[in-house]
Amino acid sequence: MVETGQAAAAVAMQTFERIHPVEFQRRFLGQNTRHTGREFNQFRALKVIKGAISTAQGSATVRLGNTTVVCGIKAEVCEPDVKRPTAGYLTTNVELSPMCSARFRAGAPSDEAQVASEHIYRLSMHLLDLTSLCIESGKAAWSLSADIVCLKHDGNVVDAAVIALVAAIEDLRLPRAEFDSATGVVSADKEALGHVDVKKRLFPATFVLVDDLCVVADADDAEEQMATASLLVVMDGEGKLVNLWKRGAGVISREAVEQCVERARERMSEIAKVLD
Amino acid sequence: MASVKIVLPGDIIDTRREEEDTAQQEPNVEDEATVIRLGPGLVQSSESVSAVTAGVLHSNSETNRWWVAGNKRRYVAAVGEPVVGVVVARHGEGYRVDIGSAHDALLPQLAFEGATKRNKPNLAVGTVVYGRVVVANSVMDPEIECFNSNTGKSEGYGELSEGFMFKCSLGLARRLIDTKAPVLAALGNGVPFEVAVGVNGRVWVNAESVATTILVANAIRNSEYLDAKQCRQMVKELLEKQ
Amino acid sequence: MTRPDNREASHLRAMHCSLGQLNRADGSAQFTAQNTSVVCGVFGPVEAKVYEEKLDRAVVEVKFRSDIGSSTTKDKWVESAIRSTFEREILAHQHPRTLVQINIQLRESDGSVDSAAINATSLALVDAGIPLKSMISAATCAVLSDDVVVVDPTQEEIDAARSVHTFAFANPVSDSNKQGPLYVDSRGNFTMDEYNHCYDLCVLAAERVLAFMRTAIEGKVTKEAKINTT
Repeated sequence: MVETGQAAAAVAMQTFERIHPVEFQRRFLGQNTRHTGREFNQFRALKVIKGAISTAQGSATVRLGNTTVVCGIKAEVCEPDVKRPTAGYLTTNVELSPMCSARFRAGAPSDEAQVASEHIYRLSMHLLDLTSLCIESGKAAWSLSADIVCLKHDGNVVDAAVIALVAAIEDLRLPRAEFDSATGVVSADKEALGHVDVKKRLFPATFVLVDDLCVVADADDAEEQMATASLLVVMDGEGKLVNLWKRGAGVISREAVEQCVERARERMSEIAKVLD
Repeated sequence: MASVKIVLPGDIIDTRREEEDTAQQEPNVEDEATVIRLGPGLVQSSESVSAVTAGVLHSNSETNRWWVAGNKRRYVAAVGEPVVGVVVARHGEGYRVDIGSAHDALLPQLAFEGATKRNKPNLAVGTVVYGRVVVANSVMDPEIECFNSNTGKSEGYGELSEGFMFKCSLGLARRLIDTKAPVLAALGNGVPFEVAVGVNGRVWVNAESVATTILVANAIRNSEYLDAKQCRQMVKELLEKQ
Repeated sequence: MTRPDNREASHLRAMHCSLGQLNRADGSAQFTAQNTSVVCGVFGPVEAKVYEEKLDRAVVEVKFRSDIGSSTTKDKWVESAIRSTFEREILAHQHPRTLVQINIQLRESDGSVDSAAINATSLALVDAGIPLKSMISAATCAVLSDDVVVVDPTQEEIDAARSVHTFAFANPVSDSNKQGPLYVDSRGNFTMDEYNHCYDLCVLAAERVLAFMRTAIEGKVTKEAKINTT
């Protein structure tokens, strides 16, 4: 009897969540808790697997609660830009396909995916010294393309994507390449693989203002649907800020922003532990 | 107007001045007078009143009404306002009329003077009509009629045949609808013409010759930023050139 | 400290704006700060396409073009920044089932483009008479490599800067400052102290930008109101 009672209560709760998703969340927030039982400033469990894809030169799988993203880096040799003859390339692409959430449609990348791609591209500039990708000045350089694919979208994809990119870059092994100036051919020694120097590790932390009421860390999809503002804090390993990005018209006070930055600082060591 | 107060969206409106005045009066009067009525361009947000559009702040101290008068180019339908529209489609029960608002207005076939099921006007797509808004709310498409449904008389509404229709800003249209509009008065002294002004920023004019129609239309369009004296001067010059 | 254009560190570039230049749009504005110039045209409320219309509010659509041709992901990023800033500031519930379309074209680019785009959008929305909770003004500042903070940086200064900060505030800026900014984009390499310093400078700059925009709108409104009274 007790069991059926509990089951019925669970069904009733699920029904409530389906029918009144906003009210459902508000009941929890009103009690200073979240519907998953997490604390307001608690992140979900983070799991990083480096080198998940053997065909890519560098790869990583990141799980942040139910959100799963895979990042694979493909390295190719190409001619450097005339303006910057000693620099290689790093391009990023975030893919939010219909498989990760019902919100996305097949076809051209959604605005959300394009914005995430662009933002991560801007962040990636801090990650690598592009001149370290140079093989021969003005002749040949490595071009890295990082494809970040979201497999499960349960909120906070940007955090997961940034962590995946950092992990994949750290996992990246490039063959030693030599440029033969006589023939103009680049030969790679596949036996001698080397790491790429990471200029700065990036540690992201996203906070979301839910329902104009409370700032929560690492929102899941249901919470993101109710978000009126979001704040992304990206730190480098030394505790300096790399990016602070607040969007949406919801009001996050100056003090709250400072608290978020403090929390992001703690988060830095949490992520670093998992990455190592 | 003593001093013109111009407000911007987000400006907090100080409505206290009125309250202080009433405080000196009888207490029972005060209760009624402190009820503030907000018109277009103002909203109440928690304890204060703030503007949501830019324009001149007006207030009527007797009724304690406050509103913001600004200029726009896009019409939002309001009940009772005369509008000039163009028939864009016809279907079983009536017509769809473009009156410049977000959604096309409905014009029932029977909303004309003397129209019956047997005998109803036949308007082609592209016909210009002069009507009055009878239904206007944010969730339904607006509806207009070309007669006064209480009296059954057309009262000047209906199909506008021939002539020429042009667009202008909503502010200019509202000024033109005033019979004392200087530009219309000045033109009327010089040439005979017909005019139908819709507050949706559309004006229809007709005169004996095409040249006069164009002259009238140009004069009205030119008058946007001119005061009464300048209007008379401008019209005079146009008429002389003709 | 001298800046390339001999401005003082806390000085904005000379601003210029004109309202209602585009006669086919419901509202338009051009916002210029010397060599950075943005035009914005607003249509709305107009009929929304059936598949995108929302039953309880207006849809806000932003198109940003930095160049001729099709838009890039960079443009999409700016679009999303502007949409997220204005989406809730527009009183969309007053006009359900409609569309407010904001088109922004960059004419000249010499740094602080994001804030110029926000300012132009704000002016164009006001010109179109779209109901707004409040006007928004934005400002950018940059921390240069020698720790000097400059307001309204040019592209040359941005390229040499250690970090660049853009903030947007609602009208009145003093209240908005107390509550928190509407939009923040700080990037580069900076500390919280630098962020706070830039924040304070941008509050002052945004206040000045708003005052400038107020004069521009007042000019237009008085021009129309004068005729009303005669």
